Amino acid sequence: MKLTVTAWRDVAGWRWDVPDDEVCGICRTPFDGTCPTSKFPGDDCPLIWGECSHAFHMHCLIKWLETPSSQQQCPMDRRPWITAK
Amino acid sequence: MYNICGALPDEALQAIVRQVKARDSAPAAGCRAQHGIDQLAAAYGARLRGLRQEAADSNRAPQALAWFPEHLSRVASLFDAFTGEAGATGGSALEPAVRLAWNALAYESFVVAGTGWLEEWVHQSLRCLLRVVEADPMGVLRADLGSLDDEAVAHLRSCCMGAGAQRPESAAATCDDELCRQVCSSEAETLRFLSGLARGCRLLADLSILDAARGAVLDAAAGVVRDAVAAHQMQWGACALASLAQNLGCAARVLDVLLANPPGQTLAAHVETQLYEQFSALRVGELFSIIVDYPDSRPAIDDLRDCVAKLGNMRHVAVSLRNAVQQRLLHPGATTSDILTQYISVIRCLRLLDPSSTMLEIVAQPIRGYLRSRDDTVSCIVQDMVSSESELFEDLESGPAALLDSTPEGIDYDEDCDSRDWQPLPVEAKSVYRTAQRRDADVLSLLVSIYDTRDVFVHEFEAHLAQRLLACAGFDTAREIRQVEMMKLRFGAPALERCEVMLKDMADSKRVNQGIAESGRASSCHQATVVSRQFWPASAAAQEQAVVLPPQMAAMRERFAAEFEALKPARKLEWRDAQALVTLRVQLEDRAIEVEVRPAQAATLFAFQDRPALTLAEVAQALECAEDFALPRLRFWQTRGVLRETRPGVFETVESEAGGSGATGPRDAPGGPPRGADSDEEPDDLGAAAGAPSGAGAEALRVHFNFIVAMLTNLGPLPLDRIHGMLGMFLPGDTTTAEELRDFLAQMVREDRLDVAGGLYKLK
Repeated sequence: MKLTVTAWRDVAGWRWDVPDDEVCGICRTPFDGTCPTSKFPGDDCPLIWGECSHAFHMHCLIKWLETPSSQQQCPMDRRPWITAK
Repeated sequence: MYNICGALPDEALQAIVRQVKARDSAPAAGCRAQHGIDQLAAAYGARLRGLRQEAADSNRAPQALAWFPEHLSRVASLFDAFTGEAGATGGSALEPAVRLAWNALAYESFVVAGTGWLEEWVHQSLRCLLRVVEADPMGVLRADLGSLDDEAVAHLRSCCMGAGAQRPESAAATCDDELCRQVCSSEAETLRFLSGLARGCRLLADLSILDAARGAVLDAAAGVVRDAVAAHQMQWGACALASLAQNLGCAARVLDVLLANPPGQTLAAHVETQLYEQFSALRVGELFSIIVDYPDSRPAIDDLRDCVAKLGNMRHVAVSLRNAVQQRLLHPGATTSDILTQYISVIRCLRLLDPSSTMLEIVAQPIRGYLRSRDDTVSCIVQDMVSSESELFEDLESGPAALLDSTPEGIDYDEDCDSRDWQPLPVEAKSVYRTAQRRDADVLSLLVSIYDTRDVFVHEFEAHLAQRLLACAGFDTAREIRQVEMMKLRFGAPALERCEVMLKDMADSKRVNQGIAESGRASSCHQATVVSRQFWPASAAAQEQAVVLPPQMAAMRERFAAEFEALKPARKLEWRDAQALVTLRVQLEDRAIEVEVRPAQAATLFAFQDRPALTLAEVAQALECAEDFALPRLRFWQTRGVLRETRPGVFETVESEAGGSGATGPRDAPGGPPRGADSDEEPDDLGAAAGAPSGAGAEALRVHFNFIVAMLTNLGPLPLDRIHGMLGMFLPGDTTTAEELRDFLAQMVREDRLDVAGGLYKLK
């Protein structure tokens, strides 16, 4: 018996490379979902990682950093926000 | 009288007594003459009775048309003799008394002792007349009598009289139809019939029988109408009412003219009323079937609308249709799609019958309530909505119709008063607000408004869309994009956001796949749809036990994943075996088949590639899954004739069909033609089977089922958590989760061993 795969319509779900049950610390929605300002997940609503290893929706974090009270700190640990390379 | 007399003064009483005495004594001579007339009348009454008896003996009722005028003429000669003798007795002063006496005689002869001849004669005459009008050999009846001016009447009379001279006895036309045929057979016959008719009518008029016998004439006319209407039973393909009204009206007017009926008491008016009533009764009784036949039965609807407009019996029609619907449609034997189809037809028909939608309101209410109680209503509507041949799709296509509940409260009901064809709502309209809303809604809106919320439709549509998107080859989503756009117009863009994400996933996947294919680093036959987990319906992501794929398949996936992660950094893929489809080419010694299967099924067969015979345990080990999971996959290949079970639990490949047709597996189908890759439902069936509790937990629960039965016997219906708690309490080693138990109980319900209602499980 010889078996050949002639076609394969595969299905996969993508997910951000973050721990499974985590949500964005700012908007509290799943990372795989969208921040309140975006309509589409993924490329349109990317994540941003800080050097402190915390991740957020990019739009959420930018909005946070724009507020004066943020003092350019990570909202989770209050260390100065430095985007990870 | 006594009291009144007591209240009167004496002088007044005296005056009254004097007056009464004076009146009694004055016409003493007249009184004697009256007495003579009475005696005469008694004598003639006896002769009339004799005539009648003679007629009855000769049993001529079937030939009333020909015979009745003869009878009438004999009666007429009696009448002449009577008036002659009476005149000789009393002189012209007594003429009113003579009339009265004769009327009494005629009444007794034609009505009280009614032999039915008058009625029979009118009946046959009218029928023949109707036939003449329908065939209209002379063209004169319709053209001239339609307007009925004096000249035309004179023309008709002269026609009839002129032909009457040589009228011979009509011989043997016994049954009505034969009579009618004979009458219509030639112009001469028609003229002869008309002249006979005219003669009868003139005699009737002269004998002043008509006043006394009007009831019989009207009954006869109603009978003719009944027959004419009954001929149109189940004939919905053409408008019947207008021509019926015209022909019957024309025939009745001819009789009116001949009988010289006064304008207030015409036969035509009576016939018209009868026609509308009886026709309406016929069509109302048939309305349910008419609606089933819609749109072929459109003419019948138009007829009925004319009836309703004339009779104003809208409520009666609606209520009778509602009863028919409840009796014939809203029962467990009708499928939901049938009910929906009929409901849609009901909407369209009743819109025609009654533009104000009042009837629809009455009829639709029970249908809507019943549809709400059916589980599959939403999916039926959504299926219908998106299948491009259906009427609903046209509605969807036709663009934004304001959805009922999206209209702000207090719809401006008066705004359409400006339009010229504004009509007040009928009194039957109970709720002005809702009716006014529904009047303008299209069919789809009415269906959607069955439910208080629109979310159910959007969710159903999402599930439907997900299924279609994953099934579509080559990421061609033009049709789905159009559907989503139309849904957005109707349900609003925010409700369809998830669907848009799904469409975007498809577009992204297409791009990614193209990029990977162009790079040449991945296998060309492997295409993957990458979905956003949060946005695709959860039901489609059925959990399936992951199996270890054979190296060549795993490599394809790995290459794709690597490419994807290079394109989209910081993202990972989770493969969904339950939704993927592999087209597998199986090359055996004497045949080759191509099958579309789930990856787990493919992997099962790949296990046999190196070793032709394996035990169930070995297969399970190779796939790293439970034996319960592997077994259905092995059976699948067994039914395809690729594997056979040589001994219980031992499977081997069927390399050549000729050698393998011995007493092998129980479900082996050697020689059966291998089904091709076109049967899509096979893998799906197996996916569903995987969703059923087939794990070790379910098997263990089967052991406990007797225990659950005893529990339900002793304690009555129980909710899931109680059952779960009891099991945990009495079976300490049991590790069944509530979900497993729920699945298992659902399985028991499917197997008809339990019943579930309102969250309570109970015994059958």
